[in-house]
Amino acid sequence: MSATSSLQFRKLGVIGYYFGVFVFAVVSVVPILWAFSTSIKPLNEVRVWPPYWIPKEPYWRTYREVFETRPFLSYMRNSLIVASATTAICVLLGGLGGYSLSRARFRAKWALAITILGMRLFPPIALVTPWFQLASRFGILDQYVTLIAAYVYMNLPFVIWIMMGFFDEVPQEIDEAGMVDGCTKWQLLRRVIAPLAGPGLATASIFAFLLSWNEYVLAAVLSFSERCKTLPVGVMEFIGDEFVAWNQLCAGALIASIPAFIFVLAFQKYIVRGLMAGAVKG
Amino acid sequence: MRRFLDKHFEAIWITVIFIVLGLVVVFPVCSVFNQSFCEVKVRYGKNIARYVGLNNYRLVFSDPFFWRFLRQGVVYTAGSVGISLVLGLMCAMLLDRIARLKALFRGMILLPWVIPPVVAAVLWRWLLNDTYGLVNAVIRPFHAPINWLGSPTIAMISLVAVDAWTRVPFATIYMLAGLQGIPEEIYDAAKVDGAGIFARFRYVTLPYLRPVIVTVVLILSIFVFRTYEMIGGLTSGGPARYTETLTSYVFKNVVEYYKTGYSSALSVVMLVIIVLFSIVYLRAFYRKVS
Amino acid sequence: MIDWNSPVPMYERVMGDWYILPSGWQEAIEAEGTKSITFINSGSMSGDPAMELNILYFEKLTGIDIIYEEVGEDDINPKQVATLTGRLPHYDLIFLTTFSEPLVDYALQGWVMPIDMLWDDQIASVYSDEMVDTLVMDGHVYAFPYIGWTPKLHYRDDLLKEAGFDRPPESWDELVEYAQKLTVDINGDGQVDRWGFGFHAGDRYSTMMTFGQLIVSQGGSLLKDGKVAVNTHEALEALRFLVDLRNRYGVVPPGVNTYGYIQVPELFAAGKLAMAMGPNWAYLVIRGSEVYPQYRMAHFPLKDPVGGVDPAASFFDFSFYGVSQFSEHKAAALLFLDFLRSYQARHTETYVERNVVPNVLVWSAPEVDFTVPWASLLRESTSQATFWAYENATQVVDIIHEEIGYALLGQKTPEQALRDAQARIDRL
Repeated sequence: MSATSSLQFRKLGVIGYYFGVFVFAVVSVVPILWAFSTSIKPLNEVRVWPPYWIPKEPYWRTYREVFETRPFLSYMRNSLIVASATTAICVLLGGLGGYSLSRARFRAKWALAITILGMRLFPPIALVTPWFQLASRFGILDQYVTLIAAYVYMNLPFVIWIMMGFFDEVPQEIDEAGMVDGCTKWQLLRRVIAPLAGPGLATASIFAFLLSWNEYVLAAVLSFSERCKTLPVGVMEFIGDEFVAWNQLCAGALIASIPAFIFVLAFQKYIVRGLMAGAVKG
Repeated sequence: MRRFLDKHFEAIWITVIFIVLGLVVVFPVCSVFNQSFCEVKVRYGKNIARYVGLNNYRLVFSDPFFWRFLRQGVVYTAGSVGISLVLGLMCAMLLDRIARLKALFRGMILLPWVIPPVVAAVLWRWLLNDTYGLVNAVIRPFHAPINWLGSPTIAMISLVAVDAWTRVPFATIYMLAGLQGIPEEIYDAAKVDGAGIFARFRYVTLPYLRPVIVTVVLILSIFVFRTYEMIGGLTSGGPARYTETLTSYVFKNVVEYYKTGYSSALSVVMLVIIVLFSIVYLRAFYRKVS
Repeated sequence: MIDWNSPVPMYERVMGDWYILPSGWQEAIEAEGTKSITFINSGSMSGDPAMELNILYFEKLTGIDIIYEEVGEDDINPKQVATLTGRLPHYDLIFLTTFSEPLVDYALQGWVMPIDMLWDDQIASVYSDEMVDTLVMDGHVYAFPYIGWTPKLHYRDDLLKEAGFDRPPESWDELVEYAQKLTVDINGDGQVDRWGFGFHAGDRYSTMMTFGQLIVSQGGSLLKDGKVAVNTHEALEALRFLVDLRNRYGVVPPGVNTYGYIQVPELFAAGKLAMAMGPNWAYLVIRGSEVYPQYRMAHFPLKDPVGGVDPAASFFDFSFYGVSQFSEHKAAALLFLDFLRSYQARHTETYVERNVVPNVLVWSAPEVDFTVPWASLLRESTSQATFWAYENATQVVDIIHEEIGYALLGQKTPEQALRDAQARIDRL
């Protein structure tokens, strides 16, 4: 093959590759579009064959019905509170913990790091029953505290791990330079480290937020009323004992996704800017 | 006082974290460990616990279900993580390159991540229904309907595909961050040296991305291996338990078979497997980038 | 403190048109200091208007606050089991079913207390004989049935007539014959457009209902001498039937091994099935669709109509309520249970929500006949209700479902599957 045709071959290959990825992205969105299409259909247009995309009589009221038949607003409030609190606590403790582990000088450092991560490796499914029993005994079932505690446990080790790797890449000299001026550790953190930690914290917070927002099993078991039920539990309630209200389910699912989507979009632009450091160490 | 806090800053925070985590997890984990050595029978309202030593563990390893579900779990994890990795990398590279439509594309990629997995599973179960699902409706002109969830191998493929669908956004974001950290100069240097696209990818991109890939694979593996909602929602364990994994088996043993001792042993074994995997994996692949 | 037989004998008190509280109830409640009792309601209350009405009535009658937790089917068990293994008083009334929150196992483990004081022979007369056999365990009663359902035959009148049939199939051979005629490829593209028949065998619950009904339609039973026996002639015929429908005659979609009892009515409503075996409340799903005017329900055909088996023989699954052994409000819980099983509460359940209750008296009320679709069909079914409860129910059902799954996939012959199932069940 001549040089030019091999170059053309390469170019075609590259274009084909990009096209393939683009196709994947489109296909990946299809179920969500279908969910939207279903959410504006009346139920009798959902259970049809062959399935079609555009409803004959678009029924937008479903979006209102979702809030009318179930205390969806409460669910959303609960999800927001639980996810935000979890994220805030994880980011704070995780940032400090990651920094501490990174800068720690004693020998047991790696053992400690692995233990912290190891705590998370225990299958959470086995903890559901003991947690329920503990919470019931202390009367904190169906309270934010319980759910937040569980989610913090589930997220903190990973956040620490991410942040630790990130801080390992921030040279110690910066610390020392700051200390020379007579700062306390706190001041050092606040003024020097925290701004650098932006991208790491952004990744960690997206991670923690989404995990808490989308989690189902623990939320279902540890809560039982609108005082504490979160959105995934609420959306699953549209699956009744006798039939599935598909249009409401889809509408509910889409509504539930919006805050998470906004959060991810908002925070991910912070990651994109040079998370290199944290990524390199992992 | 302030001096003390300052000096032992790191140690204090590490302790705090241990306390926070420990509070939540120490008691249940210890009770699970403890129960794994017992056999608890409930009769007429009394919990009769009998210490049976390692018997439960012996039962675990001689249980054909344990090995079968372990194998199925590994297949599922490897499949989902592998696909997520490859697709995530491809999407990340695309996002890195394009200037126009970036926001749109990024939005599209991120969408599967924000749907609660349990809801996604139920939705896909409907889409993959062999008689009235959208997927078979679409392939109808080209192919006979496929029993996506009712044929053992295909059900596993469906499960892997749907799970990967929910994980790709995470992989993409992480790897995009990694890609953006690769200094442009190295690419330029490579181009000057006459390296083509594939060579640049192999000798510049991949080595730099290595730690990121290592992290992503580890995190995803841990999460996917222990997933419960996706399988329960999509296949309920599949045709004749062909898509069931250890996680749901543990849950079943506690909640439906009331075998607390046995399920505790199973959980501990699962923990050991995951820990071993993590250690081996990190040892093999974890290296700093120079 | 509570005298359940006063001011009038229990049967009159409970089974009259209006529920009468037993004397001594107020003292008992005060002695206990109960202000409220808690229980789990399967699914959200907006889908249970009858239960809501019953609760409101009881609250007004007694002043006891009823707190219900709306929990999805799959999440009920973890919560209850966690509560009961931990011996916690969180739930006062316990929700039981045949094999997810199994009646027998819960009773054996002492998690629900015997409620013999709410039972006597006259009360027993309100339920079918088979039900009484199951409710009374070792001479004790632990729970009262709440509502239930049974698989029925659903079919499209227009399609049957078009194919030349003027009545629904009345035997299994006829079912196959009809189904073969009704499985059609309308547009000639080589793919089936409408299947003649469909059933649900996708999860263990659906499979058990299908399997159970097929056994009952032969006059057989899953229990032999009180133990589970799947290696029987009837069970074999039932499984053979299912496997042949899918793999030999090809009259059901291959995906039947993935369908639950929710999918089958949906498929029927979408026009993909000419006949189906599905829950008796399928009309709830079908009624919005265009096939509804042509929709009919009938008893599931017997295998052999001249065998002496009652054509209305129905396999039921019921949900029950019992009282938790660890409850701290036992008197109040018993009172509520007493009310829930009364004629008045059962009547509300059927009249308002069209649910099937096992209380035979309810089905003779004229207004029920009037308002409940296919009331006569359901009345016959209830009087012939069969239902089995056994130990280790969840494990048994998991085994049966799995082995049937292998048989449907063609990996094992029906004989092999049932033999293996029996061996595994014996080992439990």
